[in-house]
Amino acid sequence: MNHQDFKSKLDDYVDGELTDAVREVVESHLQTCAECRREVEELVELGRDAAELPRAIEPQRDLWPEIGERIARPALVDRSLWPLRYPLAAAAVLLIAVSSATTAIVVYRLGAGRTSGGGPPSSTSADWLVAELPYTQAAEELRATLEENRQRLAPETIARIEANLEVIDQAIGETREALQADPADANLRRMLWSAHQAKIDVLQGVNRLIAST
Amino acid sequence: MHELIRRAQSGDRDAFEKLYRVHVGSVYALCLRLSGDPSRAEEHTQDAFVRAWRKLGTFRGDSAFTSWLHRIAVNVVFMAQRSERRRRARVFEVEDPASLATAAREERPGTHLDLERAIAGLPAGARTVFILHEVEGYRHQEISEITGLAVGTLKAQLHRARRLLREALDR
Repeated sequence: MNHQDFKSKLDDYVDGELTDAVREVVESHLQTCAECRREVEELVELGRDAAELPRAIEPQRDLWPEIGERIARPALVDRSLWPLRYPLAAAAVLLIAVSSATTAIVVYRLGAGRTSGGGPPSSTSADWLVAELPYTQAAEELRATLEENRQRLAPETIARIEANLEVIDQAIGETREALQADPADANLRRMLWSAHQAKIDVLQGVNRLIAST
Repeated sequence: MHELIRRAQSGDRDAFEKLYRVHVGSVYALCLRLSGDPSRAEEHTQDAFVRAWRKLGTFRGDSAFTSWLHRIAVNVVFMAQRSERRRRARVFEVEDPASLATAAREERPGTHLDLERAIAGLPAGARTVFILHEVEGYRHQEISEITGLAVGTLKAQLHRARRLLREALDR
């Protein structure tokens, strides 16, 4: 080993991570190399100072009242879904809006004797499929985090999240179907983006919830 | 302490509050050093104690209660940082290094103050590994499990942290 090889082993030497054989070789080198010896002394001193840093720093305010309030709530009425209150409310409103709108569109078309509003999907429909990609990719990434951390959430919480995601997926599906029939309908497009955004909001809320558990 | 833990495990919130009073300083110090931000550290500390309450039944006494609690706090900070990184796709940086220096000043002037400032100024990755290894005393393998970093990677971060600290402290 040359000097640089020895230098690269000094962290492991100080941390006690070397095998006995390598440690002996390094110690032999230290006897003759003042530079490496000084580096070891500095590393040891740094570690000692770090270990002597204050173990406790008191927060500026008493954190207990909020902790006490949170742990006092029974699990089933725990506000664990509190971070999701707005996304979930939006999801519920969204489903009602989409269901009403798609029903109204279908009824109107039946009444007017129209069928699909103009044949098979055109290149216009391909446009909105492509435009959906960022939403679906973001949702997949956030969903992956949920899957990784399912065990950290209460079963009741998971059930409610899944039920609401199902609602949103249903809304997305119904809006897509309506758009297949009429790709140029600006209102349907807006509803589709709203549904996607609602799904992202719920999943982001879930991520925050996971981070806080 | 064992009696307090036993009572808390059986649902005694008063006993858990006493445990909180004993340990809040060390948990907050850990969260503050890792997050570099006092208000975030307060949130992380609260989340850690709430999580500890919910997991108290899993504490078997095989390890010290402090170690068990600190491990929960580290995980809370890490989960929050991961979530934050994903959400904002930005690098986490210390927002208020002075808060650490202030805390150190109360304990011991000089060395501690300089070291706290220097640690707070480290890049996030190097700072995290240095705090877990040198301040909290975790071993490489434990840090690897907590952070998800390969041992080789975290050794490189530790080496970088030490080099930067020695430069900052002019050693």
